[in-house]
Amino acid sequence: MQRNVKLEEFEIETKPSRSSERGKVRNFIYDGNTGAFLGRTPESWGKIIIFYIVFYASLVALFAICMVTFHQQFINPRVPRLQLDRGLIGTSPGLGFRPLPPDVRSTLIWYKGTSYESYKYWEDQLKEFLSVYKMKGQTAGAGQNIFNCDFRNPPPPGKVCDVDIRGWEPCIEENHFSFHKSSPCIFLKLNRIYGWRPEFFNDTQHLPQEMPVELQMQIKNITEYNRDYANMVWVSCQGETPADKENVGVVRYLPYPGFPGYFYPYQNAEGYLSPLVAVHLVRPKTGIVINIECRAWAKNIKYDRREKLGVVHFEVMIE
Amino acid sequence: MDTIIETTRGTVKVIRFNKPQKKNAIDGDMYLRVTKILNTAASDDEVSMVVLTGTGDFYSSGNDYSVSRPEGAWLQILGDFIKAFITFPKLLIAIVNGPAIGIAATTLALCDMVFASENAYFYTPFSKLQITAEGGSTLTFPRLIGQRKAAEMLLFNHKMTAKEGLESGFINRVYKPEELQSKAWEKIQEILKSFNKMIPMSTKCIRDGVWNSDLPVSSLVKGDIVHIKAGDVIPADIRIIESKGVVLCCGDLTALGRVAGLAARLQPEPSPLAREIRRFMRYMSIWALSLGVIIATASIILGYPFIQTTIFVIGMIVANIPEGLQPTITASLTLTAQRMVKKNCLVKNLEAIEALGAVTTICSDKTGTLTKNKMCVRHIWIWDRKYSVADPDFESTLQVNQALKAIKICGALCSTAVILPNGDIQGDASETAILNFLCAYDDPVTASVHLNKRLSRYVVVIKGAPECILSRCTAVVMENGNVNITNEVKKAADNATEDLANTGERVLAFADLILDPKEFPMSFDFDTEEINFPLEGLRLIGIIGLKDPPRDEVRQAIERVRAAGIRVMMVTGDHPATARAVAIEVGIATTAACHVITGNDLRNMTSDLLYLTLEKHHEIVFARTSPTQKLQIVEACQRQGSVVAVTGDGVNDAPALRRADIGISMGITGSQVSKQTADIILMDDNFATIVLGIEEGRKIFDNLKKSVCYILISNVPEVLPVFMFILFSIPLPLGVMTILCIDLGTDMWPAVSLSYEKAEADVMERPPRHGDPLVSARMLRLVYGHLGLIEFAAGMYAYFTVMAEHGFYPADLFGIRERWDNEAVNDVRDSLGQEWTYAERKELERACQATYFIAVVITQMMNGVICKTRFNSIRDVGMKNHVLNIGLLFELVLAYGLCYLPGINNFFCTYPLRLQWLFLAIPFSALLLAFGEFRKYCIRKKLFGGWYNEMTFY
Repeated sequence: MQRNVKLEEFEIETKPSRSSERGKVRNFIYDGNTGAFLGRTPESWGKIIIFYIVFYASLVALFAICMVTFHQQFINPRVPRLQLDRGLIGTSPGLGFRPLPPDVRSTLIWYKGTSYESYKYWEDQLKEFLSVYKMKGQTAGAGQNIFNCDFRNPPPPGKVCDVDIRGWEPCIEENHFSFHKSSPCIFLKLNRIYGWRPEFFNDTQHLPQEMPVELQMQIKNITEYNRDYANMVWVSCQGETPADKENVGVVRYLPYPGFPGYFYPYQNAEGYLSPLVAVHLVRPKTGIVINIECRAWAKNIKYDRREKLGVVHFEVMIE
Repeated sequence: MDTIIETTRGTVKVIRFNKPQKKNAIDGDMYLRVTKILNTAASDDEVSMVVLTGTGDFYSSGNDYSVSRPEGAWLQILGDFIKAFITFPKLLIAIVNGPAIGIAATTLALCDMVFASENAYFYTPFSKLQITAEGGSTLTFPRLIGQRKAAEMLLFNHKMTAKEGLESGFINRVYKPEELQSKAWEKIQEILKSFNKMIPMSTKCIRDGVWNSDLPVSSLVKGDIVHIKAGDVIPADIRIIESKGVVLCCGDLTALGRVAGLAARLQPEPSPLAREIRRFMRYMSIWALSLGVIIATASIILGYPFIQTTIFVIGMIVANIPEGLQPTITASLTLTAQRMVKKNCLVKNLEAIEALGAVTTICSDKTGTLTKNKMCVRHIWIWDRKYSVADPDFESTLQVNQALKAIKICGALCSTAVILPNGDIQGDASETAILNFLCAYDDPVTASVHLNKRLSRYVVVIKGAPECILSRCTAVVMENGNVNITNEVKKAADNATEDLANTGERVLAFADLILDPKEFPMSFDFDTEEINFPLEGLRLIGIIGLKDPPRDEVRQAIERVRAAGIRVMMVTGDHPATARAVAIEVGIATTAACHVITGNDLRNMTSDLLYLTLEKHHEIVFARTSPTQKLQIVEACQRQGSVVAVTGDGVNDAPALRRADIGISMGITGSQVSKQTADIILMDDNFATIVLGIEEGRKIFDNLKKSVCYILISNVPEVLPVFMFILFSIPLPLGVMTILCIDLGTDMWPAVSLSYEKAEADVMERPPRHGDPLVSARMLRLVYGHLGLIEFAAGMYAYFTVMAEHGFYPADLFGIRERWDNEAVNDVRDSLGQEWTYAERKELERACQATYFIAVVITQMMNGVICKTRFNSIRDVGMKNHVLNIGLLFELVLAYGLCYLPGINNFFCTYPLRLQWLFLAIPFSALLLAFGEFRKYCIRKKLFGGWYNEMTFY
């Protein structure tokens, strides 16, 4: 709207222009009179943008300074600042199992023993999980760190122990982890905690009362062969109820019924691999859900069934 | 033994139920006694009130069923008993020393006041006894305690304790049993004292040909003939016949009563604060709800279970709704009201005090508010110059002046006002003023000499309007004798009259004539109806100018009000010249040419013209206006968008008081109706008190802004974590419980205590807030764009630090959410290869959230300091607000308590933190302070071309 300057002085009382709603919106987006865009002139926009850039830059700078200072002062990229009991991870590692079911909330391993399509998922899961164990020679820096450990020969600093996948036989990929024979293998692993050293139940005469008799027997057997083998984090799996215990049948632990002590402590060495125990359910009852509970045994692993401490639970159902 | 003990204490009749062995149960004889005492006391002028009480630890257990009842007459006795209570015209007070049951409880409802001891209860088990509810309780109980409660009492035999009775309004006070009598009697003495002040207005009237010299005004009826004299209050609408008046209408039917009724029908506008809060709350709710919807959608899409989604949404809404606002408003208003009462300003409607701060126009009446409402002699004109009474030399210069002596005699004699024995003067305002003046400058001894002189000969004294008096005068008193009046003298007198009238004074001329004792001997019979003595050829003594002087403080007060950008208009029923003169004197008008609109002008104006006039003229005086016109003026101002305060004292001001945004009544001169209608009552009738009110009101709004700013800032660090969680898939940095802890816990006290802040330096130097909302775009920009983000940065820094110390380095947190929140995943790997079970992770999450929470609390503490001032530097203001100081300390202690107290921290999902995690927010606090001070410095100095003022000065 052009204004007549000469006329203006005679306009004592101008009526408010009745612009339509659309006109108002259009004026807000772009006002031809002032050159304002979205209610502000370009100059005003420029100022506001510069202001916010400066403000946010200084805020981000302070944040960055704080973060960098903190990281340089306190954080070692390879060692956690708060270890074991000083941090929240604690001294009692959790026990885990593989393969994991597709539904994140479920712990049921369910397949048809005769159908390849049915157990393929579980097989793939395990293949993926175990691939690092298979390809350890190829992962960067891992190969040369491998040290041939045994109980008398713990790895020197910076070196890692080898996990022999052959020891899991018949729970190996080539054998479909024995899933196709309706006698599946479940892998157990202990969570890594930096610097954690297990306190072994290595006195075969004083094993805890609640330890399953089978495990006690096995421990005694193993240690008879070599006393050093007592330095293990023992593992036991059994059915939860008496019925489950019956249904689960014979359970074999490969290579040992426990995690060898020379894998500990974990010190974030390049190429470290967690030791695994393959739990082979040799002949579980089919067509029924079997509740299985596996427990890790060490003096400093807390056990609480309700809090799921030191114990892992899963169900198996084979049709 | 006497079962009813009747005693008298001064003017108080005491009835005591005295049958403690039967819990003071009432039998027929007792009913009759009480009925009789009440009926006698009703007509006994010596009795001002009756007090009921009981002996022992029971007030009364009601009907005595153990005594045989007199047959037949029983109902009659009960009926008379209740009737005596209902019709009792004086104060009836019960001191309830114990339980009151049945009829004893129902009669309590008929008492004017009830004081009860703590062990009293009230019990009306009529339905249990299967009898009708007695004593009109079905009518009185619902009125007293409400329909529902009454039903509980009367139908369901609810036993009401004294405490409950106090809460529900059944009784007035509760005292400890041992203190009951003394405290109750203290109260009664107080009431008795106030009786003396409440002497009911009485009038002299003839009814049915009988002369009543002392009839209460309230009992006047149509047809009564009342006698009135100068200075009396007219008791009803009357038609004057000779010097008497016949009552035509009384009560609500009178013209005044109708005006009062008009006030009741007018609906006042909601207060500016209420409008502002409603607006703010509406926007805030929309904002919170839409955020909630966004979060809910995102949460559902991400596959969270319904419960979790609900918790998110609730958290979001709680985070955004400013819970602290309402307590803050209430606290500020109550505090201010208390402070105002100390300054003689009673705030009836709490929000009015804030509205006063927003006021743009004050319509003040003149008499009593701007002026002292007391006529005074201001000037005396005696040939041939004007003397000002206020002049300190006044007395000495006129000491020997003949004319002054004459004027004194004249003034004293020519008056119908009388001096009462106690020194008060009763009569016409002008005559009172003259007598007052004479009292101040004369002593009674000389007055008696004048009387002696008068015995020897008659003197005609006359006073009146100068033009009438002058025309009758032939001589004038000069300093040394009388001189015949010439044209020159006449002109001088006329000039003096005009001169005085122009300054708004009421002008009276005085003249006398000494009669010849021969012609008018002592026995001469004067007749004022048919004048038989000369009223010509008088001797002019002088002219007196009377005026209702402005109050001393008013001029300064108006100056301040005007400096604060508020327009003051005078609306008065007085003469335009008087009004204009006063307006100039008090500073409402700055030039003599101020615009005066009379009631007549107003009547001829269209509303548009009035609107334009109000636009055009800033200084306007309305004179000779009627009450309805006052209303019209208020409405015209409001149409302009003004927030209008109206002062008024008369009944006829009530409609305008009601309509105005703030109605201000006068405590001393104000009528009951005007006080009832008003929002604020000035106990000292002083306009200057309004200024204090305005200052307080503005302060309230300022402080509210500070509080809101403080409350809003913490929204940012509460809302953004959820967005971080959704957008970047990091573990949730701040949980819903901790949000609640901030909003309903730690933020509360500091937010409320900001209302204790003192007023800022510029509070009375800026124009009234007009269209300045509680929460402006500037504040939102400051809150959401600046301060809030600093807090958020502090929180995130704390969060990342705790995570990193445990092995989750920031870069690895992004995208971790799905595994992190999965209960089945028991081995989430951190940056160092450690594997975390679900429980361990959640514990870590709690620790992080608690650290974030502490970081927010610490930055919020700094924000409390920043929000103390909007304009001044914190260095100048200092930390003198101890409520805030304690509040900040409390905030910290509470936050630590929430974190460290076992059990509590589990409930609120916080965690006992390591010492060094408590200090992570300190650098950000420092940044907040630095930024806040820098911003305020720029605002004060208007640096960067006023950039900060425009952007962030809320």
